[in-house]
Amino acid sequence: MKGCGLMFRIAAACRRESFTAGIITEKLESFLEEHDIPCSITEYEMDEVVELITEDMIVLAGSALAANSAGIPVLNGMPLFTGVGEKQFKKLLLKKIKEIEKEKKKMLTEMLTVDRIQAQTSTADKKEAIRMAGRMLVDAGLAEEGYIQGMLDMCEELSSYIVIMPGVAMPHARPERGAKKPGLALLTLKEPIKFGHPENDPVRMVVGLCAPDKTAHLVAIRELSKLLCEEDKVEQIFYAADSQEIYDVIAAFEKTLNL
Amino acid sequence: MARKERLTFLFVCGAGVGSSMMVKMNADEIFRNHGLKVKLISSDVTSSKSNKADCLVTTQDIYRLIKDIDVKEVILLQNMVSVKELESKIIPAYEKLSAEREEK
Repeated sequence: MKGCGLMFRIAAACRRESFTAGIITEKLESFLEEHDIPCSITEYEMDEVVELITEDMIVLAGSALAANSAGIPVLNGMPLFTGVGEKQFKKLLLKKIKEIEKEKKKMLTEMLTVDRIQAQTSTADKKEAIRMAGRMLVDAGLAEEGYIQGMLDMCEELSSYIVIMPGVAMPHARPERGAKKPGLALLTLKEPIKFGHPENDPVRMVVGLCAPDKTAHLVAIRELSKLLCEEDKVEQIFYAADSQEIYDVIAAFEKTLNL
Repeated sequence: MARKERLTFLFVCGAGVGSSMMVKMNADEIFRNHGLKVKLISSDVTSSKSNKADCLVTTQDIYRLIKDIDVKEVILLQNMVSVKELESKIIPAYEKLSAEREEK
């Protein structure tokens, strides 16, 4: 698959019947080229802005205001169209891009610290494994005590769906069950455990997720999803002897990413 | 400039913050690499039915709970992180749905 790593992704949005996004796209492209910022700009309609998820920034080309549910920064790009305040806008744009580039990095290793990794754990069943992952989240101050029950309830309610791929379960609860801060906890199991999934059993690794909203953990979860696509990395984690070894695999992988 | 109405894909998971986000982000990259423009929405189980979509993307367990949802296509995933599996199911669904739309 084509990497889209270094590109800075911008959405240019205007109302459906309007043409302003097209003009603003051209202006942005030439301006960012002048500043050697590789970018990929896509045009959208205003009502799509709320659901955008993998863009780095949204530039509105119209008088309407729109917010984004994933917390992507939204700028009003009309100065590029009208020319009024264009200089200030360009200055703000460059500043924002720098901020975002800085913020985007190293998120997975921030969400998962060595003390929230347990290697080669022995657990009796899936409930105990989920409880252990939840316990690490609670002890780290990321979630309230009740969050653990929330994780168990979700597993009960939706059966084996938390086994997201062969060998890996990702138990989590709804944000309102006591999620305070975004974070992850990881445990690998010495003896694989059945979670009741028709294809993906048995489970060798449990990744507990705590997310108070849809936004803060997005980069980390994207990194995690890419990590889990790499069979050899997943194997390394499955069989790693201790938590530091697991962390090192993740940290080394993260360095190769450019999300 | 009149733009065509885009096909909408709805991603549903238990809480709307975990696996549906992973799948939605992967789908975004896949469509992008194919140069296709679509609309992607994610949701948790309880609010999924309030969304209007052409295609639902979820897992067997979740589909059982929302079977009567009004969509034209349903994609059920085994592996929520596999880009390969997603691509092999979502691109044919896109082609089928856009062909049906053309016929109208």
